[in-house]
Amino acid sequence: MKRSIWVALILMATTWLAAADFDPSRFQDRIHEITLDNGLKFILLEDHSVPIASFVTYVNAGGSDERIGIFGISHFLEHLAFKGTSEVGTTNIEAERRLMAEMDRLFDRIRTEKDSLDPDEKKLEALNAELEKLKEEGAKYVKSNEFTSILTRNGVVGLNAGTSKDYTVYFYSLPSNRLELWAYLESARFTDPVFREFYKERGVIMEERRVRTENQPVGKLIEELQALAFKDHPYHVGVIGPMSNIEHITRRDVQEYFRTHYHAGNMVIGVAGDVTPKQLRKMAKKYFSGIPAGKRNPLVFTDEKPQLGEKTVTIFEESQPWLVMGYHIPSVRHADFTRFQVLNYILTTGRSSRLNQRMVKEEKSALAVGSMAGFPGSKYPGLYLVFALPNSGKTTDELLTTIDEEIEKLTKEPVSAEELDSAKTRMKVTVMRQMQNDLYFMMGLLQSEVLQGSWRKAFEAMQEIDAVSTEDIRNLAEKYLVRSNRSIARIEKRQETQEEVSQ
Amino acid sequence: MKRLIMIACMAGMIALNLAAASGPDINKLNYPELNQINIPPIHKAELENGLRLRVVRTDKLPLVDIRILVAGGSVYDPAEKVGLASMTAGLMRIGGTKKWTGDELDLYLDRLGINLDVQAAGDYFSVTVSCLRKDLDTAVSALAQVLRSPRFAKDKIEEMSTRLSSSIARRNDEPNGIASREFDRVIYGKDSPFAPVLEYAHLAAIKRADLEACHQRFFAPANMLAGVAGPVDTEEVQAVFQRHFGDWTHKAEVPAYPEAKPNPTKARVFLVEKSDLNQSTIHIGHLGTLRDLEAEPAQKVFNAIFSQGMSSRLFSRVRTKMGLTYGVGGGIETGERHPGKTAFFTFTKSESTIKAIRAILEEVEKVRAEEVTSGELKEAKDYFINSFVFQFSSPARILNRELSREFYGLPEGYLQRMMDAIKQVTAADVLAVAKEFVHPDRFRILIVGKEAEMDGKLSELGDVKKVDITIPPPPMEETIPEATPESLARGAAVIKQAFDTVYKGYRSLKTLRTVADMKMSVPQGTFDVTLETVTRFPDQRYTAMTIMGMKMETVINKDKGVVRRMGQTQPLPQEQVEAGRFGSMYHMANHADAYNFQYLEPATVEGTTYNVVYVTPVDGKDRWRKLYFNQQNGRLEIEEQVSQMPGSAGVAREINSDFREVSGIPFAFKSVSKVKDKTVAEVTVKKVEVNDAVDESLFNLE
Repeated sequence: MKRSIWVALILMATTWLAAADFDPSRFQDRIHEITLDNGLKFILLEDHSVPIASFVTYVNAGGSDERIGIFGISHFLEHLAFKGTSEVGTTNIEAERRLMAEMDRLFDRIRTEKDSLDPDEKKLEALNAELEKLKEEGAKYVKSNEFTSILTRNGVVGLNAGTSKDYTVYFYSLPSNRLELWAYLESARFTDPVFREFYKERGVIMEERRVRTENQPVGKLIEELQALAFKDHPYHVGVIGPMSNIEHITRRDVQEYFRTHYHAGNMVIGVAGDVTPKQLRKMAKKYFSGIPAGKRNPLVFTDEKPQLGEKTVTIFEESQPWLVMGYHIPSVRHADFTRFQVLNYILTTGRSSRLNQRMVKEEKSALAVGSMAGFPGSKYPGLYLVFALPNSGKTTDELLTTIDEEIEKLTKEPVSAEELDSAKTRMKVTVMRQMQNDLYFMMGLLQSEVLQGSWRKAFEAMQEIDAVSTEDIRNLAEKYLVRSNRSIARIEKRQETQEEVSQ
Repeated sequence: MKRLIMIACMAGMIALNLAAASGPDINKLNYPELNQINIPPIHKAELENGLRLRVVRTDKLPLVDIRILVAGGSVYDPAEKVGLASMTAGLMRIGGTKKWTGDELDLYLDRLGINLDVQAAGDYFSVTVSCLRKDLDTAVSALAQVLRSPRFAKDKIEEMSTRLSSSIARRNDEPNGIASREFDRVIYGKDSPFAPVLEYAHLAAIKRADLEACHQRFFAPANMLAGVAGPVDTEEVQAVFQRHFGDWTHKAEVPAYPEAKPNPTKARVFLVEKSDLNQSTIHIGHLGTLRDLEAEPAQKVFNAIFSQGMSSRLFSRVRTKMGLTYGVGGGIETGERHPGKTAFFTFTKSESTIKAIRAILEEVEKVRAEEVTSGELKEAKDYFINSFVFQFSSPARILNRELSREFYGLPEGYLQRMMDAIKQVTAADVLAVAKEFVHPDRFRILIVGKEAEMDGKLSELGDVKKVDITIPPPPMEETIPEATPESLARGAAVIKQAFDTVYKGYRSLKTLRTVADMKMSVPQGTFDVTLETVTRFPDQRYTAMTIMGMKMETVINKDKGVVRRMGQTQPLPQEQVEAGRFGSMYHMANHADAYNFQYLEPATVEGTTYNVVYVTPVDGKDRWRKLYFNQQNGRLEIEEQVSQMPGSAGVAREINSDFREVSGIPFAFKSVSKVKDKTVAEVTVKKVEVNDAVDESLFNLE
């Protein structure tokens, strides 16, 4: 018998038994819920192994909640949420507010002039110079960075935040005896934020757009793909937003957005680490009762109708070729979403996955392949991405043909039991690995809480993965991985001049 | 392709004397004592053959994580075989073992959810294995196969070589990668083992025997330090390793660690021109030192105050106060075995490049001139003291630190002693460290960006050197013998004859205009192109290429050139201006002294015998052409050079035919170019006008 058949037989004899080895309820027992009168919910994951605690504030608002003219505002607000409060970050709040109001009025005048049919450049120059002066004056009353400074001196680690199309998260870790410091600062910045250094921060955000998107061919490509794949739904704009919108957002816009989205019904707070329910309840009541009550904000109602046909865009860059495609798939609440995540391990993840085996190993047409479910988000129906980088001398056309053939195979024959089993095992082990880090685990719990209705759903992941059948995978391919449902984006190398040929 | 934009959000900090300010009640908060840190013990064991085991028990999840450090790595790569360690490591994982092919191993590991990886870092190889607890024995068995008896199968070597080749081609696609790579070369020198850059020539030089030798040289039990974290006992771990590694007696032969030679360049500013960018990436710094336990505490405090983290001076100034960037940082980074770097980085729109650089330089001057404030000092020290607990945030973290400590020979208790020393650091210590380890006069500044849009002249900052990042082409299939005075003389004679007789018209050529149709085959398909070239000798040329209705014009006027397409005009890189001139008939006819003409063995192609001359420039630039002159009639019927066609790598051979005389000069009215026997271009000349009047406005560079 061939060596490979022996190996297959041995493998069949040692199937992985999920339940026997790992009991997720061990973790469930250590999770507690606390809800305040204003409706603000806290989820605590107790872990007393090390005297540290991680904190995550998850806001159910992101890029999808914006509108044209203020695209990028969720991310802008995220930056400004570190600028302090009426107490933290200032030496004179009254003087500051006065100056900020002046600056804002001036900016309104600048905007009006700039947006007019025939802007007066001289006038604009003068107005901008005035704004510069006001910025300098305002700076006198600002204790720049006091918010982060206080945390730093108290031993903060991993102070960071993130904005996606679906949500905004703020997180950091502290020694666990600093619980009250966290409660003080975190509640203060979401009850009484002051969006100071607004105009300076706009410059920072513009630089961020340049570094992530405009000066990276792949960054540009992703923005193009989103714009292509989505016609109506807000997923068609990147989180950072177009430069024109970044340049036009006002402080007033941000304050309004903040009031609309940052309230107790639209936020969930996670704490993981060396904290007891009693300790957290005390701090939560003492500090977070001031967060305004409210109902969970509704979903965006603009939906994306099925594509009428395959869409494609090619951009020419100073770069080697890239191929990315996205198929429209349901949101994380649909059973198919988990099936797509399992499909990753069959299709592209792992050396033995199908596209890896054929394109990277055998035909050597691809340098790398990959896939992911839920781009640019999973709260709403997003995309299943498949991407491949051609090896030198190979073309994106060749890769596309190969991928099409492999998808066709998925629709024609069900994958083998071994393949499916292998995919499930790897996915379950990955889920397990993510539980090693309390902070990441907590983010997952909050995600489930908000997007799926309960953090308990996160523990159903193992069963959901187990339930996926070979027929499910075949149906998935047949239903979603069709050409009319896909948008393709490519980078091709810009052509050079043909000096030598024309001699 | 991240779904989140992870933002480190901060405002800059104005250095304040916080002790004097009356802050909010936040200062009145009382914190309970920190709960005790229970540090799990690290158990040590060793096999008879010298394999060292360090085990930490953690029962959080039924997962085992193994990490092995093996002395070796890329610093030991021979200069002509950069990438050897990386390739060896990668192929140990994917190339199969004595027992199993690569595909069988991949299938097996994937089936069990086992991650197994071998990577080459600078000073060591890092082997990682992650598995479910129940599969520990299986995983270590597979690990033993990979480490002891890799197969280095030919098809897997091909796979890896192809992918590495592709990664070379992609290395100039993003400014960040270019900046890091080129800055390291500026600091350590172009051929330094501490700034290695993989080239096609290296890949061609690495053979299977080299990979085997590399594996033999470094992978041996006594040269391995293995850390294991999971719900396992030391006894069990030792038994498992004994079972699979116990009878391994091989000995490693780690060569001497290479020396660092400082790059002697005198230039201060290094520019990588990349005209598709609207933002500059900037690195500023100089060669640093080795780790120094005495200076380290003050260095760490310096870094925290000056350049690392949200409260640092650089952040506060360049990002928050000036709003010039989203990221700025760096610091005094010492090396474990070779000197590190003192370096700072940032990125900013093209129009504020010099402004941002000056801001960083000013901050450096300031921190070297005056002591930091007591507020800054206290905040930094408090940060280290209060975040100390995170050094023990997980057993894996503790274990990894211990492995590094042991690998690099740092003393036991090093971490605690460092913390204690940090508490004693004074502002004077920080100033001393700033003066001793940061030397602005030695700074080298590397910028990747579009010079034309920068705010001023880079020469304001010092002597400027332009960095050419053109990727050297793959080496020729054949090797050219060393030139000798005889072969050079003979080659020169062939050329002289050509330009004395058949091609004498080139000596006195004034103008030339050609119009041609070309069929161009590139990966995207075959395209019809029209070409028009108007040349006014010696050094003005206009070329128009029309493809799919779009016209692209190139103008070269003396030493400068521009490219015009779709209404946009961009400068032509100097490199291309010179490359265009190299080896042209006119230039060879009138500037023979700029060339080496090396006579090679005559060649017979399809029944015709040719005199073959290998042409290279005297200035040593990496260019060449091969000219085949028909021995019968002296016509240049075949030319070879590196292919310039997109999607084809290798040597292009151009075959010229349909010769017609125009004003006494034979021109080929048909020319076919092939790369590896595949036709990439076919040119049919429609018109040739010699020494007619030409429209001078064509050579306008605007």
